[in-house]
Amino acid sequence: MRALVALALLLTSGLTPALAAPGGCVTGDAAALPEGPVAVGVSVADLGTGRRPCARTEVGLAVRGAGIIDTPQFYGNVGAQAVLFGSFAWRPGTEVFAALEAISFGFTQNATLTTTQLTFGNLTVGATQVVYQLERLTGAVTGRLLAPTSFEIPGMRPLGIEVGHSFIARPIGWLELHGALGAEVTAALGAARGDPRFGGFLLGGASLQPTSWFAFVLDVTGRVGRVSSLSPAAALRFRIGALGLDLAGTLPIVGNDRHDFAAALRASWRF
Amino acid sequence: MALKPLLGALLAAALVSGCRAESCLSAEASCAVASPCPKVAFECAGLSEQLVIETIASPSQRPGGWNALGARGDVKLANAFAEVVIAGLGTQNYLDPNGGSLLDLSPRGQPKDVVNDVFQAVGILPGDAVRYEAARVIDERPSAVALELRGRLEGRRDVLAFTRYELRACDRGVRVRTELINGSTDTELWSLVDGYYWSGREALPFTPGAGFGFTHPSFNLLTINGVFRSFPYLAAAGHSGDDRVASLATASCTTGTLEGFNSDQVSAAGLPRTRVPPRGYQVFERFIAVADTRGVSGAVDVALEVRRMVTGEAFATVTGRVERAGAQAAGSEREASVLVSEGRASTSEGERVPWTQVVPGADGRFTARVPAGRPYVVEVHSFGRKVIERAFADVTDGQDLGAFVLPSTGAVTFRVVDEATMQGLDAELFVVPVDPAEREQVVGTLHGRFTSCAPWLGTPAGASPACNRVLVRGGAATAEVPLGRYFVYAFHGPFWSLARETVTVRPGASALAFRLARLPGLKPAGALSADFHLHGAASFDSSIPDVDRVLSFSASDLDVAVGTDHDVVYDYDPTVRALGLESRLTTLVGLETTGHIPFLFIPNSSFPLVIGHYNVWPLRYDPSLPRNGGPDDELVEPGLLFERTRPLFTGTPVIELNHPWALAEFGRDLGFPRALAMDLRKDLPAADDGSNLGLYVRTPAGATFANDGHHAQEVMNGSDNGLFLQYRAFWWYVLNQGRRKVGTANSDSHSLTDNTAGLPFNLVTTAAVPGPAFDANVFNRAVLEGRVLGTNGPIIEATIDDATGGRRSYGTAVFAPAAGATVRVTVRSAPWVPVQEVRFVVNGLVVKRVGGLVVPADPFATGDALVRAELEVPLAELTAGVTGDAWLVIEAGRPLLLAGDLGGGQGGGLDGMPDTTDNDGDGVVDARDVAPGARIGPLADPPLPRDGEPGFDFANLTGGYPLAFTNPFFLDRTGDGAFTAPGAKGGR
Repeated sequence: MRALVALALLLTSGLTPALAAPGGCVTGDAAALPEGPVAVGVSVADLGTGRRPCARTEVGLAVRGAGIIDTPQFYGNVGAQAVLFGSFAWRPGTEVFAALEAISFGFTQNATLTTTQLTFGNLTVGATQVVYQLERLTGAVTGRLLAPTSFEIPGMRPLGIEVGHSFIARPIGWLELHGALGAEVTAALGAARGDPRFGGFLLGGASLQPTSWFAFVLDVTGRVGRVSSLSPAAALRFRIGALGLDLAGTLPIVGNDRHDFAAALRASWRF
Repeated sequence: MALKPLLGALLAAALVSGCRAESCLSAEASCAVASPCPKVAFECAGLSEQLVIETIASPSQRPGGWNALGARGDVKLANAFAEVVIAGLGTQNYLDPNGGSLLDLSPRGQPKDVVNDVFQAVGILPGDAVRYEAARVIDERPSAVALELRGRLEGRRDVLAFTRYELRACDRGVRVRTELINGSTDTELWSLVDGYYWSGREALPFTPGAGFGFTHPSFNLLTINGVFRSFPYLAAAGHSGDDRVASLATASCTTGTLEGFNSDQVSAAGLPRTRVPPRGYQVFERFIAVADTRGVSGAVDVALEVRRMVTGEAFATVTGRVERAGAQAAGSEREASVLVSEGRASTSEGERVPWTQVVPGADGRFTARVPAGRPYVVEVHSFGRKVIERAFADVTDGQDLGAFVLPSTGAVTFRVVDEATMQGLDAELFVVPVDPAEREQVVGTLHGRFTSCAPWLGTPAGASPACNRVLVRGGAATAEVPLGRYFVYAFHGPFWSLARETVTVRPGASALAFRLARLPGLKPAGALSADFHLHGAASFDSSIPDVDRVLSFSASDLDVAVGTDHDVVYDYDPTVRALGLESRLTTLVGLETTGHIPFLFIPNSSFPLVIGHYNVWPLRYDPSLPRNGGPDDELVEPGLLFERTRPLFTGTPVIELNHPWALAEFGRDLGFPRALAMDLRKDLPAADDGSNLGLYVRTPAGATFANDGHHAQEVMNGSDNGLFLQYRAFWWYVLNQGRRKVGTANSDSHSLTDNTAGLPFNLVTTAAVPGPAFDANVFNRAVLEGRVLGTNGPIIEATIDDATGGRRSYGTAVFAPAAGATVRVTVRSAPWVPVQEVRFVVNGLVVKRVGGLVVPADPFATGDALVRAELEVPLAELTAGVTGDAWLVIEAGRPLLLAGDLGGGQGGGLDGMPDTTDNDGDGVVDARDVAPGARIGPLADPPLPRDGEPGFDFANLTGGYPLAFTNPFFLDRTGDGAFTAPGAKGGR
């Protein structure tokens, strides 16, 4: 036990200057470590997951999956996407970003009928602008546009927009607090009705960051709209040099969201 | 802020997209479904005035045909070529939850509807069916008439559905467009199809495809995903063997193929299975053609014309003729059916692509369309066998395929007379090859479908001759019979002698005469023979025409026949009168409730169930009402079903639980007790305790009947006594529970082939007399009082002296037996009904067997030596070991196989129901009796006798063995004036 305490002290003591820049954003050795809210959700293109306020330049690849397995209703739906993403810190406090579901795979089962689908997925583009920054706190507004690129809905092209505010705070060096508030509207273009749907979310969480190469994140997200839920989310984050790894999962526990799992593995290279 | 314009643009885009939405894909209240099939245009002249749309107000507006269902409130569209009936909203039929399905489709002015139900669905679950909730009649004459329907999926309110049925003046069928919009939040899998409910003994699906035609891969609900196929069109035709058949076909109006699955029970034809995320939609446009032809060719011709308009595929019309040596007329499917398949002579049957099937006209000539410029093999089938095959390369339009000369048959004229009067009798003939080698020469099927028969004299499900059966009306009948050597039996019911002739059928005409004799004293005075479970073509799974159906009642010498067609009330009395049988045959109007839509969940099971089948009579036949006045029997427990039926009874009601332990078919349970997976080792609870047994006894909300509120239950069902051991075990169980349910014996005949009407039957002791003076209430009360002997031949008379000095027969009345009472039993039977054993059953246990009874040497004797046993057994001997009250049933017939319970209950556990017989004959039922790879079973019937063994001729008629049972004597042994339930252990 004594050894464990010593190790913890070693890992957590005196690291703050090296890891955190003014405003609480990671920097220095820890710069490639992912930060901010857990970036996996159950909405289309991960809308409603909150965006980190800290600008960075990076590129990455993610593999993401989510599913509903409703045995009593003889229903199952599993989707998986390979996502290319990147962001560019245009100037300090300003970031533009994009995510493209290069491959979207779906498997759906209705009773004993099954089918699969492989298609080009969603593209989102957006921007984040820091609107306030204190010594240990940064807040930003974010806008994200879901472009009508996906072929997943036959005959229809989904589109949407999300706006929100997010913040990150670092009261002590190894603890990051973050939160987000946002609203979104999605619809579709095509032969059928657009069916606009509105939603909002409120997110809060913390990241325990004992070293420059590891963090553990725990968030809770509340969503309202056609699908309303309260969902805890967790992530394990690693850094190897400039490479950041993020293994995350979430599960709705309250509400009408039927997802049984959603998980993602993201790898990013920070410049 | 830059986001504001973005948000505005998005909203604008969405709104604009809604404004631009096609047809009703906008889902707006003011939308109109687009006219279907714009590429399809038929031409005709001067017929637009025949285009009509009307709401049916009287039965005269219903298109005729064995499956015609159109009733008040349904909508009929008609032009010069077709009549289409769409079920009115709120009218439930079969798998259609709330109306809007296609109920009738017939050539204009022809009583030839062969459609049971065509409904829209996206999957195989009850919630996948479309539930229509609004309708709009569209009268755009002279160009079109249409019915537009709006609704949702039955199980997902967020999935919106719109359908437009449209008829134009020159259309040879109905054009249909269905739109579905996924307004839910889940990605769905849709197989948006029309479901065609054939049901097994009616129209058969036909699809082009390698090895297809009438042949389709078998499947069940667990393997169905693997049998989806693409096909250019789906066609079908009725096979009732009379003139009241038509053909229909469906083809896509937008693409070259449909996707779906096919079976004799149900087909699905529509769009490919597709993932449809939220906001997704599908549009399915198709043309459903109808034509006045016996084979599928008429409607296939239209489907090919639709394909030409939609895909540009050219077709060729070919002609030919069939001739038969001896120059007998053609014109029926039994005599010639021509199958035209793409391929060459060297192409295996599994690789040929059947495109059409045509039945030549009376002159032997036929015309058919097939895609042009391809090689074809033309097969001619006659009497169930392929007799000619010829290949043609690169068939062109107008090509004459020439003459196909069929082999000769024998034309046999049959004569059946009453030996005493020499008057002709109604009778049924059974033609049986004399040995397996002869059988092999004549065994056949209808292109591989329906039952195989030897000889195959006609469609098994249809009119006489059917399979190897021929009905004789007034003593005379003629039938074409393939050449061969046969036993020919003449049958006129169990109270008459049986005659058999051994004949060699040769080409040309021949005659065969039979004399039958009424067996004196066999039928007890004051008893009527009655079959409580009979189906005709009105049932969704029967094609036997009314005349043949009623003639089969007479052929079995039935006194009372209860019509119990599935889900429709039907009245056979007009046919009885038309045949002049009303003086000796009475038909009662009833119905068999038939659950189609699973809904009921039982403990420890996640699969929804239906409640099985119940017969109810007497009812009023009213063709102006949905289901001819029958109850809506879906989504209710039995008690509530009985409540719904209560106001429909026209006299003393009888409710009968049918085949209580029959296996489910296509996921639909046939018997309520089996559906509940009842554990017969346990006593019934006094009230619903949340268990499976509690479900059986509970009274549903809104009902005054309990779920076990039926009066009677089938103990024998079917001519071969299939599952008798299980039906009997369940009956014994409920008797032990103190439920004095009347045991019955019914044929459940749907045709001449599956079961013979009146075999088995109920011998009801009653003051009612058949004919014009028949009193249904008197008769039904006798049934309810249990004065019923169930039998397929043996006649048991039994009495016990009661404590008051009276002599009691069996029945539901409870009485105290006299001290030292004996059971007096007399068993009689026709010589062809061998009785080898009498059994005494007390409280569910066979307590005494009297075997070794003498079997008549000559089964075809006409004499009066009919007594097989006369016994007098002390009651005390039979009830030894029983404490408390007892019930006693007496059985007679062939010895049964020993059977036991090795499992088969919920979760595979024991359930008290016999499931395995002593198949290795070692005297015990154990794991060694179980078939390899199985956990229980088989539950075998006694082996069929060989020629020369007792019961050989009986088995040739029934496929089973002689059997009779009395209803119980309910013995108040404790003298308290009541019958106290012995319990599951039988009071021992």
